[in-house]
Amino acid sequence: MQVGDITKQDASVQLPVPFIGSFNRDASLAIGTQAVTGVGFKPSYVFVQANINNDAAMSFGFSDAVSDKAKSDNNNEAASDYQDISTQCIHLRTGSSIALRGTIQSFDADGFTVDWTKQGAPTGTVVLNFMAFK
Amino acid sequence: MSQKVYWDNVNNKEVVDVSGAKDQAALIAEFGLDAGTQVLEITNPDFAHEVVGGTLQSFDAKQRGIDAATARETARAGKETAVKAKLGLTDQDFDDLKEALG
Repeated sequence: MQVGDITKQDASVQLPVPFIGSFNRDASLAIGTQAVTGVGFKPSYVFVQANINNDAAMSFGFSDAVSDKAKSDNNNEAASDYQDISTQCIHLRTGSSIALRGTIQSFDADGFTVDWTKQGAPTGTVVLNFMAFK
Repeated sequence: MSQKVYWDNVNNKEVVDVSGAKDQAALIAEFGLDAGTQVLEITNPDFAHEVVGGTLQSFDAKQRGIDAATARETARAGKETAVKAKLGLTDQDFDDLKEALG
């Protein structure tokens, strides 16, 4: 049974429990992949909150490994501005023309893989919280 | 809960085992990591990892944040003191100036 399946009334307790976890990423690393494993199942959807320590950059996003969406705090480029991101679930803008971006490349047997790309040379410690759904 | 970070400097691959319980050799084989992959276990939730000069290492992210905030406040207070001295302002004068400037 997956999230979204039709269930009988009061049978929702049978739905699989999402996995909630966290990890971090060194923003200065070269572009590449970061696999997150140990989730306990192959996810179908993931929700990700991300920020960079001591920085205004923050994003909230989700993905089904095909489509990624996010809302990104653009405070480092324009105050009180939020960007609608249609191609990444992680989008951290640390300055004008400086950003760290992540998409869900794949859902794996025990987790998922993030594909990281960069604009300019972002630095800092990215802290990510996620909820993975079976 | 602890987690283990695997950093393959050769292939630029990173794997985070959020359970901290997976077999190390099996994980390296599963993700096709280089034999020289560095492994770091993080047990303190205040700690994070980074790669410095190609070496995977952990650090106290919470303390680093506190230190950065302290440094910002020290710099701000220093600028405030310098402006007051240069313009001969009292604390009240300075507060009034800040309020007037919005």
